[in-house]
Amino acid sequence: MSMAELASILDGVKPVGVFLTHSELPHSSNLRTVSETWSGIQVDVSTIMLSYIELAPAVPIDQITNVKPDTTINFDGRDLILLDALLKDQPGSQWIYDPMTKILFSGDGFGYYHAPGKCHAFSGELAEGIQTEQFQAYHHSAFRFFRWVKAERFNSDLDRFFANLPVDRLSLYGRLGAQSS
Amino acid sequence: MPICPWTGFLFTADWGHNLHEPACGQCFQFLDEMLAGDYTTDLLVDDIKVNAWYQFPWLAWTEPEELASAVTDLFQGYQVNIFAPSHGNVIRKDAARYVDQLAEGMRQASDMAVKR
Repeated sequence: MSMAELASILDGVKPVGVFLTHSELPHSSNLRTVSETWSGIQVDVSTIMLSYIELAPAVPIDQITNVKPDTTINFDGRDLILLDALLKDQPGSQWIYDPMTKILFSGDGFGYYHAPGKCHAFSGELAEGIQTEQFQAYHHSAFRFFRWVKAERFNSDLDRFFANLPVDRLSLYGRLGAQSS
Repeated sequence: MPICPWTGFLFTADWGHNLHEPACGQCFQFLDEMLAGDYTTDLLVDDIKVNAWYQFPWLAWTEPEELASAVTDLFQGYQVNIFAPSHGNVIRKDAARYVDQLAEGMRQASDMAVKR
């Protein structure tokens, strides 16, 4: 998402916080611009992330808060739970869960390749839906370690994760999937 | 992992690194120089295990023997002479001599990861 798109969505509202899933370039490279555009913005990241190395060049260190996984934070009257990401390419990755809306912000997890021009479409707006092959192709590319993963072990952890967390919607890598888990 | 086919230089990024002591000037030593001191190949196996276990949580879903075989296969597929992890001492020659330690480290890392 470009800064212009972000500003358009915010429509003049000044954001006060960023909940960073992880520090990989596609997910954090505009953090300096965000920080410079909205001074004083607070950034919450996992304690496992080396934020004083990875983020300090982009955001003043006193605006970064390291949060332990499984911590519930209250943000302007609304609870958000920061979770250790199940699917990740960096140890310090976190997923963010909103108990009120039951939305899981899953970072790199559960992405899929979509047709050109469908970047901003909700899953319910895709006439063809999302095929298993689209998820499969993305995950094999994003998580190259899957070649060594035993499916039953991973699926067991995945089942356990969703059994403990009522998720209605997934917000993944820039696309909101309006699908029930 | 980029490899140079002319020199056999394999850059392994986050994989296969050993612990060393920056305060003792060990950052720029080669592994053979470390081994000439107090460092041992047993410690190398342990370091590879612990670092992989921390860096790669997905090891919990793997099979130890398959991981070890993947390392062996890598060295059979490429003529690796120089082994350069981002965070460890570089193996500057005959890197294939260390394949057993690398494979064993990954076997132990996979075995140590939580299996449910």
